[in-house]
Amino acid sequence: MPVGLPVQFLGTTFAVQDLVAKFKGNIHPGDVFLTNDPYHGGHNCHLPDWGFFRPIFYKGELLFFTLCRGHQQDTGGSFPGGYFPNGYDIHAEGICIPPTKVWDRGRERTDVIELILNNVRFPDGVRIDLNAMIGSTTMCEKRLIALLDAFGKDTVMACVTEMLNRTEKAVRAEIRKIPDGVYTGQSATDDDGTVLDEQVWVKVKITVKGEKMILDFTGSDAQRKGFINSVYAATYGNAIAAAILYFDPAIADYHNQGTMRPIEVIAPLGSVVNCQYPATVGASPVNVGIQVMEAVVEALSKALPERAVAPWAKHRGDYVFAVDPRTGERYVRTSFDYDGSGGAVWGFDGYQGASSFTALGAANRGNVEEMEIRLPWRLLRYEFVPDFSGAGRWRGGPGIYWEAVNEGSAGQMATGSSDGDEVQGCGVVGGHPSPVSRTYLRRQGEDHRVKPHRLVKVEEGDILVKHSSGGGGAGDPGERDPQLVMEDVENELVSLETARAVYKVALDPVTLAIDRAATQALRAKR
Amino acid sequence: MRKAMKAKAKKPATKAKRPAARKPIDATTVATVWHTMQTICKEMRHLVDRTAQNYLIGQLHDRAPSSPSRIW
Repeated sequence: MPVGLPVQFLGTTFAVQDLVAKFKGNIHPGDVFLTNDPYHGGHNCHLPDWGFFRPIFYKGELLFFTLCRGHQQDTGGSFPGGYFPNGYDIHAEGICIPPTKVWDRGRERTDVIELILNNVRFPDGVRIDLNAMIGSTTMCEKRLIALLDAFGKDTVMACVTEMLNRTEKAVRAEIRKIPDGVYTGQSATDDDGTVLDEQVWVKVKITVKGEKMILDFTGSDAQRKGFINSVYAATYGNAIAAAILYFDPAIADYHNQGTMRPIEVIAPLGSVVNCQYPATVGASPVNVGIQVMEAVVEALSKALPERAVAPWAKHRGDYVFAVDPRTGERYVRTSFDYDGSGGAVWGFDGYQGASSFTALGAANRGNVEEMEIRLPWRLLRYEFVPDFSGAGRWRGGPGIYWEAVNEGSAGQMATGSSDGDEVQGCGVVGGHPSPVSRTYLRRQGEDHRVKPHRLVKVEEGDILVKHSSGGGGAGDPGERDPQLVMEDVENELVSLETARAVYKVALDPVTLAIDRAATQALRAKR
Repeated sequence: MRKAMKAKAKKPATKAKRPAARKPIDATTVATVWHTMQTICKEMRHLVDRTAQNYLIGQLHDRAPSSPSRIW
């Protein structure tokens, strides 16, 4: 029962199972376990996401685990921030912490914590966040014990069982609404960051039979040298998150482990969606995480067109490591500011400015002023761009144009988990895909293109320019309500030319009044 | 290698067991317990968001507190 990024929690059961097995007979009240390891029983998506697990006992009996997982400022490795695109193996991406006891019966294992902090940059900051996350698990323990005191163990555990069973029943009913059949989808990332300009494909075959759904990723590319490989738990999380989008929104607040019971996820061992140690995984929550979700929504949109979901904008993250002249200290800039918008859903346009698909709105953009206070970057432009998303009966959320100037030192920039220069998510049910995106470094007035998954130098005064496209469209754009097209033109999200050529709506160029007769004629020609 | 790549994903070490129902429970109690757990989860989120100094957690909400995970 979590809040946050699906990839950070939907596969947690695997980690809890392995943790219980590893520490059998050595789990006590007051213990806290930390892991960030995708392998060795950690089942984590990538190294920057550190997860703190606390066992919760009641009257001497271990009943629950609680977890707080979050993306750390730094996790060591070859490049600050955790998105080094060309690591030899996972050890180049940072410190790998298998499930490790960091608190023992209420006492911090300070030597273990110091060992960990000695292997990250900005240890003081990471220490604060570590305490915050452990603190949240302490609070959870207190609240749960209060709940158990109030209702009694038997009643609480019976409620848990009931909740899981009810959700399972509701999800099975939702799956039964999907016509039995086999549905396919696929998506690609631009490249893997090591072998450049060679697309990497994720493919899925979804079999729906009665009240069971099997998502089979057999046929996806083999695991790669570059950092886009996904461990099984991460693939599982992203695949389940995408499938849930096709269930009744009325049960959205009630998903739990019961949701997963009728859904099976198959991912061939050694493939890009179930990689083996020591494959690099740095970008995988986004790439190929987004590809996993895009493949699933392409397939399920064929099965349930009345619930079709178009892929969202690709992530456009850039991570700068340099020195802030105001403090003389090093910094890492990590942000989602420059991501595009959500994909359309049948019946609704895509969310505006909603960040990337795997976040599903849980993670979002930072506050501009906060970013400018914290980091030596000043924003110059930040605006929606006309015709920069997938057209459709319901169009994708708009793409953005973003410009910021480096007022700090020269440094390095990793275009890390960016994507979408070559491959964009599809449109669904006749909707159009989003246009491709671009990133430039403007130096002395000249724009230099920077592709995703690269490491480049930034200079003082460089302007980072982002053209980040929006989400995909759903449904035939020629069927969009002309009134909505007129409003899009008025809001500068669609140009007059696109209104006519793509949406088949004729508007007066001055008053924007809809020419009904001309529109009817344009649409009759289709 | 090719054979390994065709193998299905590793299954969890311990097969999931459904907890046996202990006794009938009324809907109001189920709803109360469910929403209490949801509230705990949201409190965890607010605690981390307010306390973390890291831009990724505090501003971008790149985190996932959860409560509770059952032991299967």
